[in-house]
Amino acid sequence: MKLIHYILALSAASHVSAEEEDFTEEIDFSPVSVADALTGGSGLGTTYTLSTDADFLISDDINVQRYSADFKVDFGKTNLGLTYRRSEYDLDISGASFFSRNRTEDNDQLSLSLGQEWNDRFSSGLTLAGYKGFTSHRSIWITEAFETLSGGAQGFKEPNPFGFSTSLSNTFTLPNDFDTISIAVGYSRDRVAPAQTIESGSLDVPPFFFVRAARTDDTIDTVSVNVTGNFYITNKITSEWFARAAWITNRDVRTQLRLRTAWNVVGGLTLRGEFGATFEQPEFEAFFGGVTLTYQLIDSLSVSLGYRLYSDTGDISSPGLASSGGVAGFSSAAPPLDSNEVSLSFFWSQGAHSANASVAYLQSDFGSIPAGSELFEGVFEDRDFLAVRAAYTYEF
Amino acid sequence: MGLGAIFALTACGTRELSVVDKIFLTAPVMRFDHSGAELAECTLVSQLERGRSSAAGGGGAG
Repeated sequence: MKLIHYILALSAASHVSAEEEDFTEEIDFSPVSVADALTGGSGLGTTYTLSTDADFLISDDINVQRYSADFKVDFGKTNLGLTYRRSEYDLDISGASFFSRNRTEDNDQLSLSLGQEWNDRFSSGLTLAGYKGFTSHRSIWITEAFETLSGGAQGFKEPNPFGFSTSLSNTFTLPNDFDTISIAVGYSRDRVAPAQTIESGSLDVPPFFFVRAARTDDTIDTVSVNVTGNFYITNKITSEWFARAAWITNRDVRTQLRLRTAWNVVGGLTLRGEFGATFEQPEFEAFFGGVTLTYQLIDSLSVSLGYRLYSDTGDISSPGLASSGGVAGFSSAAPPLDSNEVSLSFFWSQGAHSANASVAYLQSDFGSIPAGSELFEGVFEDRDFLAVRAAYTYEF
Repeated sequence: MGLGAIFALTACGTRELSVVDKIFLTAPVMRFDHSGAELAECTLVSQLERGRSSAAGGGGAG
């Protein structure tokens, strides 16, 4: 939709030079009018955007589906957004030889966003979100293992994950009226499925033996600061610089740096790149990068071919996961992971309608898990995934 | 280093762009704030690649 506005603005600008006297009363050629067209500003009235998408992550024993619907209203200087997202997990769980079963879970999330453009240089955004249910297939798998292992031990409690988050962002447009710097501060509280420490021991009196489960801390608070800069390098190259610091309960600060670029090589051919790293003391490092080549087949249709690599050193072991006495001295922390992904996607846009279809082959390669933690080897098996996404957006 | 970065950012922010350039550089393929149909990557990939995810929260037991 914006592109149409830009074209209209350009069309108007070109008429100024060619037929200025004939059109000046019908079309507003002022800089404000052109700026409105470029920014989707107040001169264009209220616009509505409806989006829906479906994502699938599919392997032999792990199937995750996510559906979302998003509605936005843009009043010009003010915009409102409402998003509902549902994730469904269907897992064929197997681990140590003593447990194997199917388990399904779901997660519902609702978020509300509010944006306000204060002037040509400064805008703000506020988001509020809440969810209920497991947020990853891994946490479901590990919970199932703990439940099986505890065997109804005293103190074991069924997890009930939920959380909420809020963030406030401020975006500054630099003097060239194009580059932007955005600073966002966020807070979230997650009630997670906790680790369970299984203890056993002997008593001097009957029943002479006990099994007891104890939960580790299950509430995680996160405060984060994100800084994002969007800068054009030349009139054919744009870039996004992203830095994030997150302070998480009982953990050291986690930092992430990421650079993304887009380079119009020639005509309808564009090369996009992404490079990034994440660090957390004492021992977590992740590096990732990828390239995507996009070609504009016709005005309304483009095709993209992408390849991406990811590598990390594995999760930091939580002290709470090591048993203090008895049954196990295991850890559910993920071992190091290497993965790579090849993707193919199509983007179609015609007037107020746009759609996307993409398919990717994702291969995960985990390192060996620590001795004694075989209970979780099923979740950290090497797998081949099919990642599929279909999305549709209508603006009116 | 810090002054260099500030200078670079300032230089970036003051260079003029023509209206035509702005139109070209704000096309979906040149932007990074994709959502809805413009977003091509399956959002579930972050289930595996946790170091890529900007979400810090959990729901995880480990």
